[in-house]
Amino acid sequence: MDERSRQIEELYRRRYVAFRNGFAALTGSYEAARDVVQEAFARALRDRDQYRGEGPLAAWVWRIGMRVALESRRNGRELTLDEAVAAAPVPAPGRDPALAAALQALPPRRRLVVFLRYFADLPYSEIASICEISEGTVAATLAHAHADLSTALGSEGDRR
Amino acid sequence: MNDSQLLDERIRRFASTVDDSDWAEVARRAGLDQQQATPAPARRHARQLPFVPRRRWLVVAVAAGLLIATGAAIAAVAGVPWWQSGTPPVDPQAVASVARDNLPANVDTSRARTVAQAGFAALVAVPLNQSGYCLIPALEGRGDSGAQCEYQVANPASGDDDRLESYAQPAGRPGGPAWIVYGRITDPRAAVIDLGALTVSLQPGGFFLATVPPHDWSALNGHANSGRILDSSGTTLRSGCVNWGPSPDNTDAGLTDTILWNNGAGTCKPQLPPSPPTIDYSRAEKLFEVTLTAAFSLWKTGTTITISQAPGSNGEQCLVISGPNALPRGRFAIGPLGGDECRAPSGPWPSPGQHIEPTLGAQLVHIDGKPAYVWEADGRIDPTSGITRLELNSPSGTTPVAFGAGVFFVQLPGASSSADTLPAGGPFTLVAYDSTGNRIAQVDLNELHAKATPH
Repeated sequence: MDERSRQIEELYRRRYVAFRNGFAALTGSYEAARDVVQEAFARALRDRDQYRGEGPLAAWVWRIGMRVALESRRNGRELTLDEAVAAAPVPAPGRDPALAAALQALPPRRRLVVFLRYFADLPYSEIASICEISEGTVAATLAHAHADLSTALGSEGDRR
Repeated sequence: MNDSQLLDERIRRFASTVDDSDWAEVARRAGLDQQQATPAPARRHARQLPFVPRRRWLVVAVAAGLLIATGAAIAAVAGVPWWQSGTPPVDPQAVASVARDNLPANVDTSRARTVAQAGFAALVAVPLNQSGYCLIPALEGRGDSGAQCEYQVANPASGDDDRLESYAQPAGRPGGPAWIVYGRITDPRAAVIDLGALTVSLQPGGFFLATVPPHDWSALNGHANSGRILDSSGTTLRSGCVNWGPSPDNTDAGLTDTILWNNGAGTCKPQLPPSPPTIDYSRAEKLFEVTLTAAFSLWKTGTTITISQAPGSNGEQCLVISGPNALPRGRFAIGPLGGDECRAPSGPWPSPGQHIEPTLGAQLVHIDGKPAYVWEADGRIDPTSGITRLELNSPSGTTPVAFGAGVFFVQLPGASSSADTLPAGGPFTLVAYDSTGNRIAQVDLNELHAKATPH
C-alpha cells in the first residue's frame, strides 16, 4: 500500500464518525450518510493521485463526499448544496425532539455549518475550506445559528 | 457552564456516536485487494495540513504600516475592473507578505490595489479566482490586520458575497484609539450605504472605508440600527441591520472584527461576535524558557521568552508565550505556537506509535536588508513516552531542545530565501531519548516539510 493510501485509511479510521455525522446533514439519515462516507473514501482511494496537497486531505475527501451526497439525492436534476440540506430531515429526531425541530428550522447553510461544527467536530478552518467561505463567515454563521437555536429552545421552554 | 456551553453540549450529545465503520468495504469498493488494507491504524504524520507559514502578527503589523503609507488618491475609471483602476499599494512586497501569511495560495498579489482610504487607514483588495476577492484592512497600530476573502461572487445583487466589517482599536495601541468600518458591496448598482450615523459613498468596485467619528462612539457602542444600500438616484436597493459592535472604549475592542451588516428589514438587534475562551493568566504555569537564536514573533534575537500553560474558560489548557520579565497576559500573546494553543487537558495521545508531533513555522525577516525566512519547530510530545531529552541534530551539530509538560520549541539554525525551503545545513532531525539514553523517537524535519509542501 502506498503512502497516500495509508494516509486516507488513517483518516478514515480516525474520523469516520465525524464524516458520517457531517454528511447526515445532507442525507437526512445516518444510514445514507454511512453509504456516502464509504463511497467517498473509495473514490478517494481510487483517485488518490489527483490529490495534489493543495489543502488538507480531509477537506479533499469531504468535497468528494459532498459530490457523492448530491448525486445520491439528485433524482434526475441538479441539486445545490443548500437545496440538499434544505430537503434533508434532521436525522434521528427522537434523540431530542425539541432540538431536532430547532435545527430543522435553521436556514440550510446555517444547519450545514452547525452539523460540520458540532456533529462532525470540525475546526473553523476545515469548515471554511469545505464550504468555500472564510473562517469569519463560519464564525458569523455559527453565531447566527446559536442565536436562532437559543431563541427556539427558549420559546420551547416558555411553552412548558 | 453558561447557557451557550449548555447548548453546545446538547447539540453534541444529539449527534450519534455509533461507530459502524468498515475499511474493508471501502477497499472493496475502491477495487483494491482487501489484503492491501492494513488491519490497524497506519503510521501517523505529525499533521496532514500542507505546510503554510504561520500567520505572524508582527509581519502583518509591519506590512500594515507600509500599506497605509500610500497617499495617492483612489483612481476611478468607469467601466474598468477595480483591480485595473485602483492605485497600487505603495509597497507590493508588504502586500505579498500579508498574502503569504493570510491569503489563499492562488491570490495574485500583483493585482492588489488600494481601493479606499480614510484618515490613517487604507483598504487594499486583491482579486481571487474568477470573481472573488480578498480585503486587507490596514490601520496604524493594528497588528493583526489579517485578511478576509470571498471565494466567488455568484450573484452580486443578492448581497450574499458582500463583506461589511467594523473594527474598533482600543487606546494603548501605537496608532491610538480608532474605529473603522470597511468592506465591499458587490451590487454594481449600489452607490451609497446609509449606516444611520454615517453615510458612506462606495468606491469603484463597491469598496468602502470610513472612520467612525469619536463623538459617536458612546452612542454606537454595542448598538444596532437599520440601514440602507442606495443607488445613485437615492433609491433603496436593500435594507439591513447595522451592527456596530464594540467601540474603542469597550473592553472587547481590538479582539476581532464585527460583522457590520445583516440583510433583511426585520428585527434589528445587536449581535456580539463569538468570544474566544477567556484565559486565566493568574493561574499560568511556566513550562520552560527559550533564548532566541533568531527573531520570533515580536521578539528579537537574544530575547528569552517563556512558554506557559494556563486554563481556559472552556476547560482546556492553553499555551501562552511572554517576553522577559513579564507574565503572560492579553489574548494577542497567544499564537506563536500555532493552532493548538488550547486543547483538552486529558485524553489519549492522538498519534499512537509516534511520540513527537512537530509543526514547522517560518517568519519573514530582513537580514542585511534582504528578505529571508527563519524557522522554528514546535509541537507536542507524548507525555507517556518517557522522553527525558530532546535534541535537534544536523550535520553541523546537536542543539538541545527546550520542552516541558508535553510541549517543545526549537529554532533551526540559519535562514532560507524562500518559504518553500528549509535553511541549508540540513537535514534537521528531532531525536528523543529516555532516561537511560535510549533513542525512542525521531522525526526528519526536511522529510516532514517535503511531504507537507504542496507539489
